[in-house]
Amino acid sequence: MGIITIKKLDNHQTLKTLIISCSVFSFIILVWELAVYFTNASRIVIVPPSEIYPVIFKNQDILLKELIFTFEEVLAGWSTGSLIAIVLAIFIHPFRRLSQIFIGVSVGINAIPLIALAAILGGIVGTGQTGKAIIVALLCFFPMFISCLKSFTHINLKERNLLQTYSASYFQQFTKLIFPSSLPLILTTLKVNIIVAIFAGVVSEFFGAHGGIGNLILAKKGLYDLPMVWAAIFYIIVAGSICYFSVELAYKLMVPWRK
Amino acid sequence: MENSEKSPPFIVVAILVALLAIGIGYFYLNQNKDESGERDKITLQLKWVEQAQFAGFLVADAKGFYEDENIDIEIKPGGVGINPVDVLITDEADIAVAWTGNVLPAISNGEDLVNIGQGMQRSAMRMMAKKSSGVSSPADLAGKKIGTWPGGNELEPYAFIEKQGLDKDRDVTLVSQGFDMNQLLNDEIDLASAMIYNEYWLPLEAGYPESDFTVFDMEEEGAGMLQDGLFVRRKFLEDNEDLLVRFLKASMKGWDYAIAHQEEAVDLMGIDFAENDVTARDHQMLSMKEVAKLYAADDALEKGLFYINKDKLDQTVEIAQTYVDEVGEIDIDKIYTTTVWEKAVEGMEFANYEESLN
Repeated sequence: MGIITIKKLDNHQTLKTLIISCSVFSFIILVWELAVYFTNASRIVIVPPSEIYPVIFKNQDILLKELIFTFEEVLAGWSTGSLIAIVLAIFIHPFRRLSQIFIGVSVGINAIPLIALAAILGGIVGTGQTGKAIIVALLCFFPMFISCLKSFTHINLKERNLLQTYSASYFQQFTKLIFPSSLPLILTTLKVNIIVAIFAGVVSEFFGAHGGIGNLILAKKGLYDLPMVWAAIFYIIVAGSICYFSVELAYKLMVPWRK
Repeated sequence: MENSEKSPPFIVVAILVALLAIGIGYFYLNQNKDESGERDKITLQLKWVEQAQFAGFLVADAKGFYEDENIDIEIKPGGVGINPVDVLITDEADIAVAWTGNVLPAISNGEDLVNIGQGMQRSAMRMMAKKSSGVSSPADLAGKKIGTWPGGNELEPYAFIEKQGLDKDRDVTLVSQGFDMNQLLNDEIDLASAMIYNEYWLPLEAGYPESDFTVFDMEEEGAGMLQDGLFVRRKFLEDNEDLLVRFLKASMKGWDYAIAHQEEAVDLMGIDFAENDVTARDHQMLSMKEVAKLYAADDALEKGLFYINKDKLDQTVEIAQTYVDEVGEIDIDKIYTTTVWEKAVEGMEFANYEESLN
């Protein structure tokens, strides 16, 4: 009985949040539409939502094609970068001194806006899809590497001592204690990284690309086809949200003990 | 008690605020600094970075032709992500050197921009393919990777593609091209955009024989559009016609001098030459030669530099409307005026270019 009421309350809360979000969103759209209508703003600076809306469906084939092109880069880079970081951290973390040094260096590198390198990396890794995936991977690597090293090396000593009294091997300690207790941070980093990855994928396409939604935005902006530019941004938002909430769902499934 | 101990001493806060105020003040004062006082200020936005393409304007500035006309000119270089049309519309420049193909989509979206003088008399755009890519005629474009420069420089390639009965968004792969020819040389793209006064020479300077490439001249392919025209907002034109006449006069003198004294012009541009890229002196000399041929061409040779050839303008608008979906209805009589040019060209004496154009 108690559980059911809590669940009901939960659903009620979600519904409330959803309604509020939707109304805020609608309000922004309305203000946007009216602002453009009443200020007579130049059509090559801003277009009203009512002009963007039909384009979203009319040019679905082009937009989807370019979106998929970009998200292939994004997902490939995101998963590779994050995975390499996790695996590297697993091998490095048993060496305490080394881990400390790596954390320091990575935090330093992470403070550099690496996306600035996208302009120059094109010459090294090429302007193709692989090149973009490498840039995305690079941007996802450092946050994940730091998170993993930190959480692998900051384990509650009491719990570890307990496992040691059971004469658990280091491998057992890692799989039973260290890794599971690091999962929340790993998944949170994955969630932050997917947004970083989308941003890196789209922006790196501004510096020369063989396709993709960033490339499309650049091309259509040059022709002042703003409805198409906004439609492209809409597609990015939708796809980005789907990715973000998928990772969130994975978080809830894999770390049920954390709310 | 504890709280008051923790808050920083007043003097530190005061110093920080003062520094911030100085910083902000310095920034804004620098934005509006006015050295000339008397002379009329005008801002010219170039299409691209300072190079031989704009030699005449830079020479006019260096030799004081603008000063002679009582003009204090600020020449703003362009660059990646700077669209001269955007700069013009947002009032950050009074005059823009822009490609007509770049201006037309803005005009068909309701912007009131006017052409007051036409620099280059014909298109300088080429599309270049390696013969090994299998492109030997315009009919071979389907399914190819085609390099363009998005941001207002892509209308001619688009028209060229659509003219072959292809859909630019579906039948070919459009690749945004860097401002070099590496993607073409590395076979990343099949067809590259190239300006006859710049990129066209890069592969040749790198040692590739001219016979390796198939070159399409947009002018000959019926996709050529006017480039490097002088555009202003109508409001500015109405309020400052006399200033624009003086500006155009000084610019004509600058270009006249640059075309007749090409080597001196390249040195007068005030750019730091590099060893061996597009800013190398040899490359700029080559570029100057081609640019001169584009300015002192066709009707401009007899009637005077910056002549607006209405037929060419008509043709540009027609090509854009026929082949580029993004360009809508345009009233051609509203996008140019010959008044400024007629007043500026009065009493102008141009040099004889025969020798220097070879």
